[in-house]
Amino acid sequence: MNKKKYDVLIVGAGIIGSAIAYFLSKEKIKVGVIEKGNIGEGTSSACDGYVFLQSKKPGISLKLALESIHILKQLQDEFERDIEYEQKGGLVIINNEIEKKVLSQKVKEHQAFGLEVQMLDTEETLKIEPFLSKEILGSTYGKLDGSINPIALTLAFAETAIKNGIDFYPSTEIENFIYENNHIIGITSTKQEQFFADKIVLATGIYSNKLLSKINIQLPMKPRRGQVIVSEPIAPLLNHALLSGRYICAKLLPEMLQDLSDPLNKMGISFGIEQTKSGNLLIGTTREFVGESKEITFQAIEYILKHATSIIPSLIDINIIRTFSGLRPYTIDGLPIISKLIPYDNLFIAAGHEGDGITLSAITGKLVKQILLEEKLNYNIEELDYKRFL
Amino acid sequence: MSNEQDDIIICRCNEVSIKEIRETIKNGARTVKDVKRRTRAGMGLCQGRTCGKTVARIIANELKIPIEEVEMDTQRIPVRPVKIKNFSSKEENDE
Repeated sequence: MNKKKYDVLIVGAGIIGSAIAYFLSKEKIKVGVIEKGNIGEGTSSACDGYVFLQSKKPGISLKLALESIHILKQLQDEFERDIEYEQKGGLVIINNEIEKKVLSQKVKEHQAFGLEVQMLDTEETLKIEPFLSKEILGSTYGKLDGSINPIALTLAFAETAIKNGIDFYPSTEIENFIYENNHIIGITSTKQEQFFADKIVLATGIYSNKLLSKINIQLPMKPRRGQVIVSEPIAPLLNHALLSGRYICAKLLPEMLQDLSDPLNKMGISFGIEQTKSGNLLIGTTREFVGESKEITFQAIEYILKHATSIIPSLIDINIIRTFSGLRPYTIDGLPIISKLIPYDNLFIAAGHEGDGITLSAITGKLVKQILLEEKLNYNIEELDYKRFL
Repeated sequence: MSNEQDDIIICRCNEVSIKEIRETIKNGARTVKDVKRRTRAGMGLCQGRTCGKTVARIIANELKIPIEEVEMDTQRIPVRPVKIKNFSSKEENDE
C-alpha cells in the first residue's frame, strides 16, 4: 500500500484549504493537500467576488475582514496570477424606508467601530453611480469595499503553495480515518493510499458533515444555494460593487424577511451586482436551503433580474450569457468554525464561512497556520471555536 | 509541435491559444471546466459551444485518454445570449 507521511495534511483545495496551504508552504514543514476533485472546483468557483466590509457585523467578523483585505492587497503584488482585486468602494442601495432605518443604524455602528462608511442621499448616490434608478432612497458607501476574482484567488493560493513545495493530490477522496489509541493519525483514500500526518486540517466546506459522520461529529452547518447570472462583457457601467439593502437586512436581520408568502423572501433573493475586470456583470443572488441541489430555477433568475432592473433600469438591453449556482457552507450563527475538533487533539477544522469565504480567506489561512504551529494569535477567536456548539 | 501551431486560437471569444491550453493541462487541468477556470476558454459569449469539444480533444491528446473520459462543462441556461428585458417586461404583463 502506498504510504505518505506529512507534518500537516490539509483536506480540501477550495479557497480555504488553498489559503491554508499557501501560508504553511512558507514554513519549514512537510505539507500535503488532498482534494476529491481539483483546485477550487466547488463553492469557490461558483460564487461572486465581493470583498465587502459593510456586510460584516461589528465584532470578530469585521476585525478579521479588515486584516484579511490588508493581506489580500499584499498578495496581489506577490502572486504571479492576477487576482483582480479592486478596492473600488461599495454601495448598499436603499430601496425603502425600512431598509433606510436598518442601514442608518448599521452605519452608526460601523462608524463607531472605526470603519469608513457614510450615508449618501439619492442625489449623492446618482452622482457617483449615474445608471441607478432615480427611485432609490440613497445608499451607504464603504470606502474599503471592492471585489476580486475568486477563481483566480483560489488558483493563486494553490499554485503558489505548490511552487513553494507542498504536495498536491487531486482526485483523492477520504475513505476512512486511521486511529491509534483514540488518536487520529491519518486517513486512507478511496484509491487505497495511506496518508499519515501529525496534524490534519479539514477545509471541507459543505462536505464537512458527510466526512465527520465517519467519526460521529456533526456541525450545525448546511449547504445554502446561491444562484448567479452572468452578463455579456460590456463597457464600464458601474463604478462600485453594489448590494441592495435587502442583502444586508437578510444577513444582519433575517427576521425582517420572514414573510414567506413573498417569493423574494422565500428564495432569499437579494440583489448584488458587480462588474468584473473582464467587463461581465455578475448579478445575484438567492439564499436557499435545497440540500445539495445546484439546479438553476427559472423563477429565481426572473425575480433576480426584475429586482436588478428596478435598481438599474438600463440593464434591460444587456444580454445574459450564463447562469450558475453554488452551495455556501451556512452555519447556524453566521460565523465560521476555525478550531480544534475536540475530542481529537490533532484534528482541526476551518469551514462554514458561508458567503464570507473569499473575503476571509487570507486571514483564515494565516490563523490556521498560527494555530497549527502553536504561535500566538493576534485575535481572540474563541467565538469561532467548535466548542461553542457543545 | 511547431511554434507556428502554438498561436492557433482555440477559444475565439476570449482569444485563448492552444499553447496556453496545453500548458494549463501540464499544470494540472484535467477537465474542460478546469481549463475554463484557469484560462477563461469557454467563458465568453458562446459559453464554450464552439470551443468546448476542441478543448476536450486537446485534453484527451495531452493526457492520452479517450475523449469520452474527458469531463465536459455543465450546461446552463440561457442557450444563447438573451436580453434582460425579456425577463423584466414579463413583470408588466403580470401586474
